[in-house]
Amino acid sequence: MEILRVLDWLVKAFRVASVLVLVVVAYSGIVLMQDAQAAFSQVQRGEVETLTLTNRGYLPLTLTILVEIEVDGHKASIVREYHIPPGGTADLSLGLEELYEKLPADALSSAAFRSVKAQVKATVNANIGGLVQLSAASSRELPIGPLIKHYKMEVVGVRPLNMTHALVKMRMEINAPMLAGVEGRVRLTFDGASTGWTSFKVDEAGNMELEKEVVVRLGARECLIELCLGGFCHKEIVSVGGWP
Amino acid sequence: MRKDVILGVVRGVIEFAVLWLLPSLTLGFVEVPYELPALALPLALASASLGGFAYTIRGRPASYAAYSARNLVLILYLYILLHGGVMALAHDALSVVLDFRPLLLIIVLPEAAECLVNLAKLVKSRGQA
Repeated sequence: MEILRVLDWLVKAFRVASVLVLVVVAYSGIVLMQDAQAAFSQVQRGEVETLTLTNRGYLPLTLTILVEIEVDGHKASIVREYHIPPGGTADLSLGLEELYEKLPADALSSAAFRSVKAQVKATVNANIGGLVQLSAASSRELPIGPLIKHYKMEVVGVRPLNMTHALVKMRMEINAPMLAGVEGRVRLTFDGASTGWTSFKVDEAGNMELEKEVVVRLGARECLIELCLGGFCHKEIVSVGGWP
Repeated sequence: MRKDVILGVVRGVIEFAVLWLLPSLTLGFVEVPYELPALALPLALASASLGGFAYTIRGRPASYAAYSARNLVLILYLYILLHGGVMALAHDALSVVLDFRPLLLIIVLPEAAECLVNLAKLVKSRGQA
């Protein structure tokens, strides 16, 4: 009967230990849920891009954040993993611009002149001391674009060549930081006469300046601008006022 | 004997309150999109009844069998109540999956150990009789 009495005590000790573990895990999980909910709300409202998360629980926390974006069938994702010991703090930063940079140029160029809808899905996996695995996922639609912040096409000089034609100097400016490094081409058409394609590249700061001289028939009043960025082309007709 | 019966009933009522009333009231106060499984109520009743009965006849060989049965019912109750350790909750646009199977194992292991000890006591008391 002695062994059974010892076993009885062992079971009691085991039960106390089990309740202690349960309380510690429950506390760690509840404070994490509260912090995560607040963080999610802040991110969804677009208030912050960097979150400071403190592990207020008593167990080590492993956090894996996966953010996926899909624009016009193009996908990109970012994965971040954080190991936060009890009482430790981690800065979770994940800007949408960083995610856009992962997208191929074709995906962003479609948003150069217009707004496109992007599907953003965020998944957070939290592992609390290897005892509890919490996985939270949220998905929302975000508008992207127009990414070209500044776009200007102007005539900077006109020099008559003869009785019927003039040499027109055109200047084009684009500012689109999100499209830095993207290659493109432009073609101008005056009254059916095209200039041929001219290639350009948006610089690292997102700027592009291009000057082009075009022989134009006098009296031309409209110019068709065909601007292609990545695989997306934009057409626009502008009035040039006619020369002379 | 009457005192034992009263104590057994009190014990059973307390156990039922802990197993059924406490989770029900807690879920009523906390806004969590989770409902107690339909099987939880009969299992809580069975566990409380077995616990109360075992306490009433404590010391007799049948009490060990009743305690063992209660341990098994309680393990089943915990497994059913906690959805086998994997819970999926949806709140607004947020879907949450909680996997706490290792924790469930830690919770039910003392019950399983106690069940085995009670069975050993039952075998020992039968041998002595």
